[in-house]
Amino acid sequence: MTSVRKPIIEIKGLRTQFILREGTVTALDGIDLTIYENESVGIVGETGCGKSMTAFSILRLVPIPGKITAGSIKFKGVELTKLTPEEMRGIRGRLISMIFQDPSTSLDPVFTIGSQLGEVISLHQNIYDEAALRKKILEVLRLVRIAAPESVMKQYPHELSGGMKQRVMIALALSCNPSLLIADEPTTALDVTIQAQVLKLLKDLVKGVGSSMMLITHNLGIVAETCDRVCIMYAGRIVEEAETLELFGKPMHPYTRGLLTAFPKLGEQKEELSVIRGTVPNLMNPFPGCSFVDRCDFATDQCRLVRPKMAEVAPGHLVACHLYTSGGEKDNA
Amino acid sequence: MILLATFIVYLMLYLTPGDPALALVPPRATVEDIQDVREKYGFDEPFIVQYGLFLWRLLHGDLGTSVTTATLNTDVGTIILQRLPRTLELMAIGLTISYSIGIPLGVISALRQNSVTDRGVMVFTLVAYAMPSFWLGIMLMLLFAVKLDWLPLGGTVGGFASIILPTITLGLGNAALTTRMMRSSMLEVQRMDYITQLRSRGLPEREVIFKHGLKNAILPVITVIGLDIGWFVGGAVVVETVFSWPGIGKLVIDSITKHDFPVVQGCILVLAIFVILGNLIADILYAVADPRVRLG
Amino acid sequence: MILRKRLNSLLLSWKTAGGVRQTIVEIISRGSRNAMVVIGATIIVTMVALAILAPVLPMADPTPAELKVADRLLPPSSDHWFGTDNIGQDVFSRVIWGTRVSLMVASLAIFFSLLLGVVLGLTAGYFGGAVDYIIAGTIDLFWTFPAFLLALAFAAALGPSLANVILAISISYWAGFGRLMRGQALSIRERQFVEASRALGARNGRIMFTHILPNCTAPLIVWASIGVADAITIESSLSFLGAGTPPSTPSWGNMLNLGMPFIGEAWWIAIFPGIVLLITVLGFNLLGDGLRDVLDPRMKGMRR
Repeated sequence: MTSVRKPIIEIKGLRTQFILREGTVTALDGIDLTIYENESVGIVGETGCGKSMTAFSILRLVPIPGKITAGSIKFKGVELTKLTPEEMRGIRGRLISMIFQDPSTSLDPVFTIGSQLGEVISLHQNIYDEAALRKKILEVLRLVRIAAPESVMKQYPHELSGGMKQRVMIALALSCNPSLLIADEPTTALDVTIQAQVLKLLKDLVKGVGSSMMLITHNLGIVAETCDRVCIMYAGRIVEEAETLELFGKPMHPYTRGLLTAFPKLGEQKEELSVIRGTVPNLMNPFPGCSFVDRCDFATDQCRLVRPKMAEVAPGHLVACHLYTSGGEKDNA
Repeated sequence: MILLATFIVYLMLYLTPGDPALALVPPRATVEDIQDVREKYGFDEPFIVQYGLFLWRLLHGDLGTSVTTATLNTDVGTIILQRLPRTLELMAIGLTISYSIGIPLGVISALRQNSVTDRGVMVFTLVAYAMPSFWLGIMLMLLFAVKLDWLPLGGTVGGFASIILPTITLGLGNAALTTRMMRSSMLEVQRMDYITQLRSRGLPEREVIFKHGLKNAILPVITVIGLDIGWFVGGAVVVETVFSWPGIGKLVIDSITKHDFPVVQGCILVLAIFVILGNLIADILYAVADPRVRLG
Repeated sequence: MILRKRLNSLLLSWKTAGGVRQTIVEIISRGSRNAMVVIGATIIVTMVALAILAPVLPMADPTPAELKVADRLLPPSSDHWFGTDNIGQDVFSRVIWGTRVSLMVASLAIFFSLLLGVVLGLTAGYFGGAVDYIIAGTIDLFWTFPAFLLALAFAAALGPSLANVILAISISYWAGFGRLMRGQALSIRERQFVEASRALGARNGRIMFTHILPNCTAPLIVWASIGVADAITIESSLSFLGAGTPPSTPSWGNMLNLGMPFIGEAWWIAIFPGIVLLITVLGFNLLGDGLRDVLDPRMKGMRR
């Protein structure tokens, strides 16, 4: 498993903060993440834990008043945080692209599907000839398994169903063969029946094109289906990281355990749904210790004072928890 | 719609206190003349009959004849048609001014939210909106025509120069409104998901804002074009009076003062039709612009 | 007797309705920090004060019985702060008295407008169906037609008098309130507390007025404020055109009408009333806009 793989994205110590009148919200508090070529990594966590913000930070689309305040993001060796807006623009859509959560609001309602696709394709692939462009658009639409590409081309977003719109989004994102595709909750807004189809499509295409995928979701089931590796995020920090089977088989961090037990499994007899007690901490006041401490059944005093560092406790399996590591790192709060 | 307008207009006549026949005859009419009129218009008949007769005459283009001594017995229709182009000119140019100022200003203001420019524009719109058109007109007149003597005082004598003040007066108020609408619409659009999506596709910022953002932001502004035109018609009446501009607006006011009822009736009808037509055009424009509306 | 009881219980539930009290508290606390609200309110209070105090203020009689030729067209001086007009009346006092007229006409007009609009709008939104269809159609009709033209038509037909002006404006302006209330009624009636109320046996009228209406206090206040500004503008425009207040009553529009021919030689006759008019309208607009900012985001979709 540890053959020499080239990293596509290397994130180290990423900190993204929002500077508000009331205080500073730390959305991402020191994220370390590496995604290699040809792999799919799932980012899992509850709403507000920073999953989407990681994606936006990579693309440097963090909404104002947020900004990246520390850390480095390397894309194939290039330091993204140091690029000019022009250079960054060259990367977006072409080398790294992103699919948003809600397909209904992600497409410009006053332009046809064809024109939106055409816009992206001609921009990144320099195809300006109408006929060639049209051919490419149809090709891409067929790729995402849309049945009648000629008529869909002429339609407007509101005329399509949710599933079809999401396919169009996928088409837009993959049209230029990016090295990394970021999918932010791609199936959350879709009907359950359509979810499976779209997921399969995503998986096949990504493998077909040879891209890596960063799949953001709160749904562990999806991760099990599509990802090679999984990262669990909590309150702006990554708390556990491992290959999918390993994580599901041997979850270590109390939060991960909580998540997995909360998911009722087929065939399991349960009296009550288990719940992780407590609520997500306020991201405005940086906390010196482990951010999970108030909800953790195994918390110790050390957990309250010292922030645990990510450490490899099994091959390819990292956890940030004092239960498994001796001594963390004194956080300079 | 139009039917309703005619109904209201006729209702007005019906409700006017006093003998309606008197309103329709020239000042020196004899008793027989008045009786003639009474029979012709059926004033002794029930309301429905009167209204029916009125509609019938309308369909034949008969709006009655003027009763003011100056234009005695001239067909009202002719009088109105004479003045119509003047008002159309005024409104057309006024509309152009209003939108050519309003839309760009709104966009600029939105793009520079909370900057000095933005605040300045907001103050300007507040004041411009609060200013009643006749006051603005008088002020401009005072400044440019009287004190500085750059522009003519009124009427159409001065050729091109004389149209400047009236149209600016007319257009400025709506420019303020348009600016505000455009600004808030633009701000809202900027927060939409698809804008961030477009950026994530690598499109140049200029295209994101002007090609996509603007096209979406302008929709609410188009929605209110109908209401704007209505506002303009009202404004035209005032502006024409201030600047002695020989259009329908001034005609209405003059006729009211002179108690030339047929003319008043005709004018109001025409103005109402203007408004209705304006709304229609606006609806069509909006359907063209927003694909979501087109499919019924 | 029963009516009194009903009225009392209505008032009681209004006073305790979290909605109204909360809104007012919010307005005062957050409004006082908003520049527009403060400036607007100051202007309005000043104007209202002037209007109320007009009879007792130490100034010249606006329509003196005796007019001396020598008094005509005097420029502003310490005797006549705003000068005199073409028949010798003191412009300053006429302007102050004009405040009374304009404010009174505008407030009454908007009050009636509100009444009409609220009742019709609530009824339409709450009952839905055929009732809604008819009323909504009427609202649309009046809404798309410019209020000013409508008012002009009515005022022209009825003749210049204060009552007629108020009537004309009320008829022309109610659609805005109607629309607002209908929308609110449509959305609020689906809410659970309405259903609960109905389950408890409350009658329709009661629901409409004690549940739905208090929730709309905020937008109503904003609209009313802007409405008064509009009403003042309409009234003065009508007066300017000769279709509003009768010439004998001092009103800003009238004065501008009279002052226009003299604009060259005696600019003060038209300018001062105009300035005061502008400031007053601005005041109400500022208040309305400021309040809307304060009570946002519940105000999406308003025309201005």
